[in-house]
Amino acid sequence: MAITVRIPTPLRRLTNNQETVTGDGANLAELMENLGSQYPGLVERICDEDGKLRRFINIYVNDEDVRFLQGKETPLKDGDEVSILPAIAGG
Amino acid sequence: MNDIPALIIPKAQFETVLAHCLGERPYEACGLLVGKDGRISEVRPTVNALRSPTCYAVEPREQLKVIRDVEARGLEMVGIYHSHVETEPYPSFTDVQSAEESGWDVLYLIVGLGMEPPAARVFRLTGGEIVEKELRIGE
Repeated sequence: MAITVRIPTPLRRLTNNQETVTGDGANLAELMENLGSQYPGLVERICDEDGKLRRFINIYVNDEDVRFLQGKETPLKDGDEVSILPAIAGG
Repeated sequence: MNDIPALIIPKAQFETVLAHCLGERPYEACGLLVGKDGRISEVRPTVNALRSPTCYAVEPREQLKVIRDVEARGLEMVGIYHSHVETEPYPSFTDVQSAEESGWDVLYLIVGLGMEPPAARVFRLTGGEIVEKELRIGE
């Protein structure tokens, strides 16, 4: 299965400066594990020590925020695009 | 990001930023500055998902749409702008902390609306530090 993963600029130093990478997994959790094996350090920027999505990270599967789907259990299929989006926020 | 010394923005684009900031009062306005190498070619006003007078968050769905469009055309997100409705255009603790957590190493244009006329300043926020950069309007 080939899942396209869009990597935001702040994390590209962990993916050999690639804007998109390809991963595998039946759901988001499996994809994270697959990405972690390919790109050391990447998943630690996305998930905390308990494996939860960091509060400043949004993840979209195609056009849907996974927080409104099934979180890390969100199923994935061949051809899906997963976008990692660090929040843009402040005050 | 290479250490770019200045944010260069055409006058018309800066007027777009200003109009957006003024129009969103009493809430903070926010948006993205698109271009290359510190030179802005497009301003993309976005929705402040928090609708707050003291903080902002770019609506993620909009953020995704803009980034997809920008990168498809070989451009990049050069900076982020937002307004301080009553305080000076200087990074708050929240600004610095958010930049650190998210990792966005871009130029931050802050528009202070509490003075007449409104004032704007540019900063780089990395490693918890605040470094002011030059704002060049109209070049």
